[in-house]
Amino acid sequence: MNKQNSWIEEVILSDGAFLLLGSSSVSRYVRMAGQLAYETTLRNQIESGLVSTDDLLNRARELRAQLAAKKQRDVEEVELAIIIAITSEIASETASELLIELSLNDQPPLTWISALARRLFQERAANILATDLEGARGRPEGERSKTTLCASSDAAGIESSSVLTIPPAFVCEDSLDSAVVDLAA
Amino acid sequence: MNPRPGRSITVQTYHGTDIPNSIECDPSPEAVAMQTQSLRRGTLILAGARPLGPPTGRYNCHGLVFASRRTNVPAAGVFDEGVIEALLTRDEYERIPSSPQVGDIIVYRSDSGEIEHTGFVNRTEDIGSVRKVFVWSKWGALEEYEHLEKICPYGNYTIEYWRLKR
Repeated sequence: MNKQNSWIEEVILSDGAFLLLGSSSVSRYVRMAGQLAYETTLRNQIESGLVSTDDLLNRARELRAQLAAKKQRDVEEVELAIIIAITSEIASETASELLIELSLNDQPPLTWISALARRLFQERAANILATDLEGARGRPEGERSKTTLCASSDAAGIESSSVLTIPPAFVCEDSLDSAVVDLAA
Repeated sequence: MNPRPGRSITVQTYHGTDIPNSIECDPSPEAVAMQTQSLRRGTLILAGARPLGPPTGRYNCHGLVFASRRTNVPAAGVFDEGVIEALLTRDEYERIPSSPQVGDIIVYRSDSGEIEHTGFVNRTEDIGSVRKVFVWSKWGALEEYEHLEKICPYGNYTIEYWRLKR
């Protein structure tokens, strides 16, 4: 992949290669991808509509196909990891489908990408349910499909009331349990 | 080039339990070149971190410490919480409060309490009452480095030292 063709700034790609390839645990890899996602302007372009969700998901699939054809961990992994971190904050069924799709193939060199997608999908299910249960209270019906990316890294996850954009079959029992506790509290 | 990336080998703790592991593919020359342009890496190099060998996906930091450079510990990309903690116990290490020596294991623990990096104490230098600790560790799938304990990508974590029980 030519760096000039990337959707991510060169300086972030370089830092990304250093931080992601330098990770020995899934937790750190996920955290680094999330941090890089907050540093890139791509996130703002999605938020402002300059880049559509469909284009983003297509780009992710294109990068996955390129990476899958290689025998080494390559530069596509960095851009793809950042895009996955951004995608995990988008409340739409197509975004969920992409995360599931990416999590299923964990053959090298896709091992880390698969682990990232899996972890972010697991966290996403809980976030969306919790946000829904809290956010849906007292909101007018018309506002319940609005999706907004959070503006700061302090506000983790998405601010969205897109109720159950993930089919219930994908939601694990633990997430449901914690959501119930939240609601009860 | 790794003929069969993702494969595991038999590695056991002192207690005889199997250690989850995998031998992964290497980063490409393009990816390696890209990370050398990193400002974060550049800052650490300027502060004295010294690369010792080529990047490889064959082993990671825990693989250097617990598996003699043969494999990644735990297996790449799998749920890894508590694995290194268990290794320290089953290999009969104990935490030492201070005064690290050459050969001790340095452990970097994140805010959540998880061990995210390990290495060996490589040498120490006493300057007045201050002990400078130099570490030999591998940074994920990148190079092995010699670095001061805080001069690494994990330098903001809590640091512990562990030594074999006597």
